Amino acid sequence: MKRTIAEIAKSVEKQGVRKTILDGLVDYENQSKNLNFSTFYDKNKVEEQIAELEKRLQAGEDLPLAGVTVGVKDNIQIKGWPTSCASNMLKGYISSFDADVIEKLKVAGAIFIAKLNMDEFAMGSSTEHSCFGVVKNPADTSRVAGGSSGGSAAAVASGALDVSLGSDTGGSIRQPAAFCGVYGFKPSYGTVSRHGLVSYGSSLDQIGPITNNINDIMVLHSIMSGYDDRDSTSIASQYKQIHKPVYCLLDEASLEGCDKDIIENYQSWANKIKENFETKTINLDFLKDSIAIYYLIATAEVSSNLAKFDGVRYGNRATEFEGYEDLVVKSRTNGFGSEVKRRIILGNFVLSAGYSDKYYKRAKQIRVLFKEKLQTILGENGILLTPTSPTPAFKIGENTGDPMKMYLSDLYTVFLNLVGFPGVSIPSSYNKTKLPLGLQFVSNHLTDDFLLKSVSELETKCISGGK
Amino acid sequence: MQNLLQKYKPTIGIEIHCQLATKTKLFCRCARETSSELEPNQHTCEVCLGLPGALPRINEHAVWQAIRFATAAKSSVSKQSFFMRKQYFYPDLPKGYQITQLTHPIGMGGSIELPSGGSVLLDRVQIEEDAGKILHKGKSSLVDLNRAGTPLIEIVSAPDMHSIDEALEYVKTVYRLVRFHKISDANMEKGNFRMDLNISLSPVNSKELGVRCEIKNVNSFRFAEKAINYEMLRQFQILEENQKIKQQTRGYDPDSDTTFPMRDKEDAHDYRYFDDPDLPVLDCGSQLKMDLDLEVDPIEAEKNLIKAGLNQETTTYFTESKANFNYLKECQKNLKNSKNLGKLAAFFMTEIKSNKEQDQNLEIFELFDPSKLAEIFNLVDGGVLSSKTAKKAADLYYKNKGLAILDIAKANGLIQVQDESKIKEVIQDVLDKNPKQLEEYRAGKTKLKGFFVGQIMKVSSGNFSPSLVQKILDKLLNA
Repeated sequence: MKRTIAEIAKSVEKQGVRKTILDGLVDYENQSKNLNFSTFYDKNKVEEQIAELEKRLQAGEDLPLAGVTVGVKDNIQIKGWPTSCASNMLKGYISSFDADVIEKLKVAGAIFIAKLNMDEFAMGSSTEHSCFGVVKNPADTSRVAGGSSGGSAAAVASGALDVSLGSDTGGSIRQPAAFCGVYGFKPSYGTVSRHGLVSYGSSLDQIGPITNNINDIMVLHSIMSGYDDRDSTSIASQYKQIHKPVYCLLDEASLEGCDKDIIENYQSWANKIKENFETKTINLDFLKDSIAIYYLIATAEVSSNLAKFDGVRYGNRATEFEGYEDLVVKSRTNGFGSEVKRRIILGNFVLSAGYSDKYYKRAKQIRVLFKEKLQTILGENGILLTPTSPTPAFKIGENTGDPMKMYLSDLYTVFLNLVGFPGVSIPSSYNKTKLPLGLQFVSNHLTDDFLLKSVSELETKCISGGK
Repeated sequence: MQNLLQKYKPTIGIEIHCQLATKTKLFCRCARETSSELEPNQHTCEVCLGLPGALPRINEHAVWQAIRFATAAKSSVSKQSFFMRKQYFYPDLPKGYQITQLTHPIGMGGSIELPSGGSVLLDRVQIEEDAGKILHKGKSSLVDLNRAGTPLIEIVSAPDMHSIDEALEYVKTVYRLVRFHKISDANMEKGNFRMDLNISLSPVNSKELGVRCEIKNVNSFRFAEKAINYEMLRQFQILEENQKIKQQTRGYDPDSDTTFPMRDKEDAHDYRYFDDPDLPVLDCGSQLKMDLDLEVDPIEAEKNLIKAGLNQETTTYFTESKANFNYLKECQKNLKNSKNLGKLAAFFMTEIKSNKEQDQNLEIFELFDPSKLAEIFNLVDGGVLSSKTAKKAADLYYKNKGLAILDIAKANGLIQVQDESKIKEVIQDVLDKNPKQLEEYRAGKTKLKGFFVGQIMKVSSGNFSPSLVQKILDKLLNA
């Protein structure tokens, strides 16, 4: 059942929070079984939260998210819940603290239904790299739901949950949202605390919402964002009031390599936008390098971030070993999956003596240039329109043997994480085989509110009568 | 050693790891203080245990302490410095990397002035976190992370020392500096102050440095002396046999006073340093505006106190900590005749500090009010108290703190009699009562003067001004 946060609030008023939540969950178990989007679900935990929620409502608390069912990507921690990161390395690990976003959502009255499937440690674009198995796309179960937040997108797209949380390091919220036909938002770097998110690429990671409409994105982002002193990269920002966006549309060259359906859909939206708003045409050829830069930086950071998983204190631990080194080698060898190992090895390589200057440091320098360049293109009020992904959802197993092809599908998403800008993917249309097609809107750093408001306004104007 | 020094010039560089005196750890709010009474892993949280999803946040006080050291060591403080990850696997290293500094440390360059003259150049001062500890029990090893994440500064000297004495003077001076300014507790038994010693020998006429060996984690000055000595002789022997020194990391064994190889250069880790993406550039602007509380330089202060007439032991005591130094300064402020500072300090050492050992746990200011101590010496200076009655007055004051020294002296008859006629009367009486001795004295047995002085002191309970007694007694004896 698909419903908006506003509708849920009305339902709570009418029929109480318990019924509202249970109504929302009618489809949950069935869908979860069909699509494999969940890694952990416990009815008792849901019951406990409903009881607690009823007490708080009775006490007169103002709970804007009361009744909203929330799914949480399994790399965001809820105290007392398992956090597996869809890895054998962490299977059975119970979190000892709440992520900052979980604290904030709890205060607002949200209840958490399930931990959601993902690519192992958020590395992947298809949720095929999960120790819990692949997530299926609700639009076509022979296809992937995208990744790494595939479970989060599939759960919302199927109507099993009202909203979900994902994490986005190179497109991991926006691409699965596009593949499944839902809304996915990656906020500006620093606006949402990473405290409690298991790090992949620390300088790239952001937590963001996946929903069925743009308004819910705005509601959730206003609750989830805000300064947190437990994350030193957190920013206390006052969003500037900006009016009148100028839409930056891609020239033909910048769409090279996209599926025909994707290009057609893009052009039709571009035309609608031209009719209603001020636009300019730009070239984003330099984006091609962003894939290489992204994989240099992300793998360097993750090779370091995953070093804590050594089998000594928690997580997967080899049963038989001789000495410390053997313990570490064995625990990591059988704990991590192949994609994770590939990126750890790559990251160690780019940071190693003699190569660091050539690869990692140069990547960091180019990253700075990217930011300057994009800032110049966008200016204060520019909003860039791109396809979210060059293709719609692909078949399960289609790309697993070809990591480079998989990496290239991140073309329109990774640059955003490199520069820290906000981006939202919206479902824009379907192709002939009824696969959802996503469009991505991007604006300058710390203009998140402006971006979301503009996209909301654009939807109203360009889709006559709404959806 | 003599042979060695004729042919080779030793070069020594030292890295000192010094735990900063802060309430909490470097990147979390766990208590820093570790003691043997703690349960293992009692002072830990998600950050210092390296749990997934936990992020570091800098302890501003630790940064302030590091800046204080850098400033005291004339190191140039970088307004913006970076934290980096030094990556290696070890059971006591929970994150798989240590957060430290490398390319942009908090302090660049600097020098430590040595009390004997000369100075040692510093390469840099960097902030970093300490690792935990491993306890070996039978076949298994247990990890205790109470110490993990405690703040350290690493003070890296240039290869700028050329003798054992110089190296020892350097580490002791750094030790005094950090203790005086309370930058560190520098408790060596607790491992709060550890030294890595880099030693090489080069032929006397060569400008190039020899191949160095690093002796890790030496935690006492005596061990440092022995380790350097052993290492120099070991390298000397190798060179004399025309062999090459292998660049090595070595350990020191205090039981045999020798060093032993830990790993060769070829086995050295590739630490894969990179900027920690969880920590933004460290902006020290606000700390630099704060009071660094470094007005007094203990080495300079020591020189001045020696000049003021204090002996070495007393000077060392009063420059050991800022409290001790401030105490003496407070005494000095109340002292009417500054020439008496040496006497006052010596009096404090013998009559107050060492006599009141049972109260050693008292803060120096609680031990004896400095203005009262100065008052005693002002009274001695004015002839009101003698050095003997001064001790009594001090004792009595110690038992009845709060009273005025003069009142104590008056109430207990400690005031020196200055009245010449009264003194003369008493002396005459003593002479009259001892006619035999007086006769012998006047017949030339002048040694008997001491006998009369003793008698006079007895009668007067030592309250007569000694100089007046001398003057009047001489006059009457020779009348």
